[in-house]
Amino acid sequence: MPVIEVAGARKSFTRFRKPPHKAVDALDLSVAEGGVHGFLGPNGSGKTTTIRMLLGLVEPDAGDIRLLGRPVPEALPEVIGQVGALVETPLFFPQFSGRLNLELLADVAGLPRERVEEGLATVGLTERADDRVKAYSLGMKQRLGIAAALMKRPRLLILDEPSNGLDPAGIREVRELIRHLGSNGVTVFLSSHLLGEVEQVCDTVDILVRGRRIASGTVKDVLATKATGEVRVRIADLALAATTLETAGMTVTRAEDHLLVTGVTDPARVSEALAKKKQYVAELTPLAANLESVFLDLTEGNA
Amino acid sequence: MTGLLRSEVRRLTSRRLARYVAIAVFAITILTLGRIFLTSTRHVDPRVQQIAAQQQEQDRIYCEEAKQRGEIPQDEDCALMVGTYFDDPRLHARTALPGGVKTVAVSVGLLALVLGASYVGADWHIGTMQALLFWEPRRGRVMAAKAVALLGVVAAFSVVFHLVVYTGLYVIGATRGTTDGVTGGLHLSNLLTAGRGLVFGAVMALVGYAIAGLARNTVAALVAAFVYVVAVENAVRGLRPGWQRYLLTENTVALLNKEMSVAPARAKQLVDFSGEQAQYVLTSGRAALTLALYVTLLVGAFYLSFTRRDVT
Repeated sequence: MPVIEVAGARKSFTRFRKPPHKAVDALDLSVAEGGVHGFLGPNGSGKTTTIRMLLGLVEPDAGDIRLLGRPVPEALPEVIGQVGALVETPLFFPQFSGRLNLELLADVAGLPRERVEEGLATVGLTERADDRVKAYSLGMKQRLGIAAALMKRPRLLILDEPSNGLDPAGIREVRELIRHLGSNGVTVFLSSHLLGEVEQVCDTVDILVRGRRIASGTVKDVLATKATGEVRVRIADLALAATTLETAGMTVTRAEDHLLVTGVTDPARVSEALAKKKQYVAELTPLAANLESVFLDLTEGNA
Repeated sequence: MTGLLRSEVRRLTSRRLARYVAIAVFAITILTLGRIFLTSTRHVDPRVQQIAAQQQEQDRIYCEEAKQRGEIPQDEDCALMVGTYFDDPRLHARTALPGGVKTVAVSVGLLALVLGASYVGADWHIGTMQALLFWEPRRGRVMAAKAVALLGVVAAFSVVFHLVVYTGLYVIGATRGTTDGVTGGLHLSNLLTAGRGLVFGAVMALVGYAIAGLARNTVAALVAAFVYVVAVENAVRGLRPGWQRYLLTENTVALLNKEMSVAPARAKQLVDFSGEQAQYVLTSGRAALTLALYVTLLVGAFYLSFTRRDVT
């Protein structure tokens, strides 16, 4: 069963003396249970509005939204106890300590105090838990936000830019935490701008532009939609091989220890052309696109 | 709901503003009671009282003589014509206790307005309202829990404040002043005034809470309240005296003083057949109903706004 289902969701925001801003436009989304799901899109693409709609903070103009199989916002109270969320910058009382902020939230859900300590320990904030939140760095606030989301021991964890303000070590910790949660039965719905991070931790991904989904699937499938058409060739005689390939109509760039053949739709054509001339490749690697290039390609193409 | 309510009470009482205000109020109260204690005394030089009594007797005699000479009307009460030559330094509990109760009631009302407005306004300003809704998406419940927590804290504060002031004034009256005229009936009357004061505190707390909730901002709520009292009410008193009975201040005074005379509904009724100013008596019961109606409208508007507006 999908943990998140969005069908035909629309949301516009009225603006003073301007036409309404269409934040989400006929969005369809389906996130299966388990693993880490990336939710990508440029600024203003509707990611945060979508997350707010999932959490009942924003009411859609049209469409059907379901969380853990229950309709939102009507049945949200039934499932909210299984959903942890961190949306944009975590919001806490700056004059209260980190621990008090978490205890107040735990009280709302009737969670035992141990959950507070557990959450603090998970994000490494136990020692600073009694400091006022206003003394926290952005990264510490972010970690406190993640601790709050984890206190529910959620089935679904919705994270909007969880690496905001974190230093490289913090980013790595969050990445490992997400990976750990994703592989232990928690479905993580991760909205992030850090495409490298998404590529490393996500199993599936949705890409959003102007409130519409433009790509969806496993990270591998999405990457495959934008193959670079480049093949790296290692061979004993680089000069001879280059000549052979150029004669066969391919574009070859010569590097120190390999050739880069571009514009190749089928890598088999490279080995075929070389084999006909009794030249045998030591390595033939089609170069995959990375998520960043695919993302830029898709979003610029749809801008 | 219990957990949510417990969380809200703790959130409210942990707020710096609430704590600082409570500390400041009790510090000022203790200092004021201390000053009254020091200035109230039963030891007065008998010669001072004797001289004052002689002077008052002279005034009375002069008044009677003036009546006989026809210089002042015959029905003039000479007892009212004597001057005051001696300030009694004793605290008179009979008058101090009702005054103390009303002072506490008005102070609690004003503080409740600020507390109610800042309690909800800060939630919107910091964004913790959004964080709270991740945990309890039933907005009606969130709103109700906040209102109950606010009213509970205001009521508890009010009771303690009343007890401190009332006990302090009574003890000073009993030890360094006078408790003449303090009867069970007076205590009961003061208790009822305190009860009406509690209603006023609740009204003000909910007014602040509802306006800040509608505006999603503390300052906007306080400015709105200030503009209403300074500009709107004065404009109504000047332009439409017949509407005075609907004003918050008049209803508050009527509530605390049991009644208040205001202008009648229509201007032509301002002077009755005897040529005297006609008045409309606003009773505390009617005032309570009017205030309750205002609060219901404001809280209702907040409810509609809170349950329908997006949280962005």
